[in-house]
Amino acid sequence: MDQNIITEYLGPVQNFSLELRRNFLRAQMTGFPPDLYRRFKELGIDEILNTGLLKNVCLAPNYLFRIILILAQTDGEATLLLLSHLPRFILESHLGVKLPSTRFYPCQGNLISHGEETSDGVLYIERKGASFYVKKANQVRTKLTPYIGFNELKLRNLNSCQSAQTLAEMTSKTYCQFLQELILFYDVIFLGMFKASLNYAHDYAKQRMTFGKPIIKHQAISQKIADMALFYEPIYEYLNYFFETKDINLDELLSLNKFICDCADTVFQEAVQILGGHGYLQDHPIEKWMRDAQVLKISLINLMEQVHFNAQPDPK
Amino acid sequence: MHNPTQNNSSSDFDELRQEARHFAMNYIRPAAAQADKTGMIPTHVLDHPWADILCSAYVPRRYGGGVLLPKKNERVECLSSLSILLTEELSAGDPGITCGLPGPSLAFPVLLEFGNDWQKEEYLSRFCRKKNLWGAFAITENTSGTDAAAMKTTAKKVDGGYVLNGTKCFVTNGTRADFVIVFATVNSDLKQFGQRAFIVEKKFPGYKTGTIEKMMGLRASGICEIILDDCFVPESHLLKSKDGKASVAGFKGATSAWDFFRIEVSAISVGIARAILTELEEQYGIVDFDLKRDVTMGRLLCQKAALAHDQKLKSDYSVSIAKAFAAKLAMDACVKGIRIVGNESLVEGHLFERLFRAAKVFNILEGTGEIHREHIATSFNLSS
Repeated sequence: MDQNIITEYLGPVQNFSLELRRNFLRAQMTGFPPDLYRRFKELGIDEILNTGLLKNVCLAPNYLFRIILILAQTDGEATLLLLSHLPRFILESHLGVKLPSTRFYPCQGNLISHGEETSDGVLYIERKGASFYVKKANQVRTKLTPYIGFNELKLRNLNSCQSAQTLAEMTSKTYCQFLQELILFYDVIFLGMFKASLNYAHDYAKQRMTFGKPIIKHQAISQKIADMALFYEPIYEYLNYFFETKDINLDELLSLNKFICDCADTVFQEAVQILGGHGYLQDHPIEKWMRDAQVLKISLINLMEQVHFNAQPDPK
Repeated sequence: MHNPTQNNSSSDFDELRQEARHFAMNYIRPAAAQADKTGMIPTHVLDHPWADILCSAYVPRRYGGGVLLPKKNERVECLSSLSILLTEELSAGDPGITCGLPGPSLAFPVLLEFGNDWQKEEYLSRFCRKKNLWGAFAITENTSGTDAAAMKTTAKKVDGGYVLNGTKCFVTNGTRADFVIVFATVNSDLKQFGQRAFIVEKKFPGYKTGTIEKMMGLRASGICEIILDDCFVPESHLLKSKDGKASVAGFKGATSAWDFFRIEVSAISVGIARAILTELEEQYGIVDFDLKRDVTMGRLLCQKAALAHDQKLKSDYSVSIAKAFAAKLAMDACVKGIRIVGNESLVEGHLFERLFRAAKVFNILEGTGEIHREHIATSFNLSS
């Protein structure tokens, strides 16, 4: 894809992200506004991502990285909703087949899907022996599972399905490659959430006055902000490097995710701490990000375990 | 100013890097234990062609400096982005000797930015003509470290020049330096605006080197005190900005040196961590992916800061991030190495104990980790 076209789209994504941010508190109180997804389509970003970037993520991964990072700085959950086709596109790029237009979120062992989409059927991956099968289940029974965060995603556990259609078969190696790319995508969302927390806490610390000066002038607070930045910046450079060079091996990926999961607790908890009592209120988005991060962290750990498990040679 | 890493293919620098690695592993590393004991750099290291290359590397090409690319037979400027590649390789050999190798050291960025034509010609080009020559930079005092504006060394205006009085400490290569860039105040009430920067030659009357600091590590770097006792410095040796203001050179000279050297210090720290990583892998068969990840992160942060510095962009935030991250990385890597290897690594002369002692200083010199964190918090840009 022409580089200029992609660069042009970074602008609209940035503006859209600001719009999303403005609507964010409303979204938190009243649920995810449906008009946002429509607006996203109007801007054409969804279209270009579907046809160009997301369909073939290897084409311009560094731009994909930037676009997702910009969106995720608004809210990780909103980004997952908006880019819910991304996992399918990554899967398609590995399998070389067209899959039904169904969103899915592979995490937590069982299938967890966007609740509203179950009527269209759900896409899931099943292992039999050494091979994996991509299946579409038409009649499914799911159970809505209320999690600590990511409530708008309406995460559901798949209880049973009466009929399933096999769409594609893949080897352990392909499955691992798919998971690795998916993990990188989750990592970028995590990074965006880091940045959002850092921005929010920094902004608050500059405005909030105690003892006659902004709290950022108190050393304890400024050191907290610096520590958060010292988590964000190296991860940004590392991920950017991977997306630029497309060169990552499994051990590096697992190590990166371990670092991100370790950082997550510190970053979000410190952000709440900087806001003090306000950080505990739902008036500010920080408490939601702290809860969301736990779900994303568990999902990441689960995906990493799957990658690690499937990367082992088959005992047979 | 061109960026060497952009205008030349990476293979050009790879070869240079390989040569630096060869020098580090075959000459610097074997000499490190002896240098650590005696505080002297062995002559066979100083006689190596790479000691000459490094002596003139930082000097601009128009004064006869730069680095010769082996394949192209062409000299390029040794800007930060190239310098950090070499520094990382050399410090993986030994950080103490790396800091003590010949060259203008921290005197170079100040001279380059605030020296007039005569001063540059006189003090920079000599590094390309002579072998084993050192420059130094003296700003720290016993009671003023990071807060340099609180310095007590005075400069009193007299006929034809200035008389300097005071004691500077922690002067790297102070024992070997041919000349030192000394910072002194003409009026301490003016704080940083009263600072002036002078080129002080070791032959000037009233200049002498004091106690050689007994340090935990980095002993080969020749760090010592410099005593200025009614030391007369001619007017021609006062550094000034392009518009002739000595106060600007005094105030910004230190900043320009720090901006440059903080990136170098970050690269040295990454080199230390890499030395631990490589040793664990090659000698003990342990591949630590977490350490490998952190070394890559540190290197990427250094590259980002160096590119911003080379392109004259605002680089203080990236420099502080690189410095704070890399300094902690070096220390953590050493602690990890010692924990993995155990007792053996604590015996005097072992690579890990030497690196452990050396690593700590990089979270202190050129601004402590806390000061950089303070700077990160205040200069953090919401739109970055």
